[in-house]
Amino acid sequence: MTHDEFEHLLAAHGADVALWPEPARRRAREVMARDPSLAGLLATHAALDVRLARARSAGPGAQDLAAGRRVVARLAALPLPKQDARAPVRWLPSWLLALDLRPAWPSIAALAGMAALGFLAGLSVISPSQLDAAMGDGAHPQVTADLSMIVFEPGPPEESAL
Amino acid sequence: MGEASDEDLMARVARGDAAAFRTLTERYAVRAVVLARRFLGNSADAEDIAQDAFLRVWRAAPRWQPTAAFGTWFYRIVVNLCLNHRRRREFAPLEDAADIADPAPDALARLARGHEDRALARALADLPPRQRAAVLLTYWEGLSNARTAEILDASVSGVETLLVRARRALRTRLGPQPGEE
Repeated sequence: MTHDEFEHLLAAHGADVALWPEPARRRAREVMARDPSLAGLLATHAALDVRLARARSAGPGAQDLAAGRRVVARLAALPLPKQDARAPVRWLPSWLLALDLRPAWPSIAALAGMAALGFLAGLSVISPSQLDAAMGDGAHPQVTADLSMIVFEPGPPEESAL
Repeated sequence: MGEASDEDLMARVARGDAAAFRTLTERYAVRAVVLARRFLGNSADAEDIAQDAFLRVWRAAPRWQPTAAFGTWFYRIVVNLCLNHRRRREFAPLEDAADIADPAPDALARLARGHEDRALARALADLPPRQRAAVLLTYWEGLSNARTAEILDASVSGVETLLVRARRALRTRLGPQPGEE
């Protein structure tokens, strides 16, 4: 068992080795017998556990109880919003659904359109002779269209897509 | 007759039952506020987060699938709101330790304990958000690593890795623990 594996077990099961599952407990005791520094590490984690447990055991304070009551009162006073009965998009992780984040396809399409326009506009500023030189011979048709004249005004993204 | 389960209440909430929604808010409001306050270090923001989380529950109720416990889903909403909120605002850690109940018998011990609690709150505040969430959910909320993994949308071993890193950072920031040396 390496030092890292030992720390991983500490994080998974806490600093009381007696509570670790059997194979890990036996191996931990073997490795602690060989490496005295692990006993020190265990003691440090045990002290940290005590500190964290004390914070937990304190439970909610008077301020928290009052804050909870305020939240309940505010929610009771608010007009509840319309419920959203649309079926969930199944491939989306549920935490995204929980945050009401849905695919922003219209925005993505607008972005792709802008990128394509930028590419075409870039082509339009290269003169035909430069293009011929870049292509290596003069056998290609000349670029005559002034693509920068194309006007593209994407509409604002729909609010529901954001 | 026993109390309605969270899942029964959610089924009613999904049909637009405001009374069932109120029962759920009464059941979970303090837990939501405590988790958000510990995460953000700010009581006023914690109340806003809790309120927002409940409104999301109401809106999404018709789409909710009881594939996991309601509490897990609700914690996930609160944690994600906290993670997003934290990107916008800085932590204010000193408020946190003030209302931890204090069983210490004398003033000196009370003072020392208050100092330790504030140091712990500051050390937690310095953790990266996901490590902080893992510590709060497992050690302070008392959830299993498996349930924490569900809430954080991570694997159990991913949560354990977060905890290993968090514990290393806490040990470094807190220095020798009481009872050591």
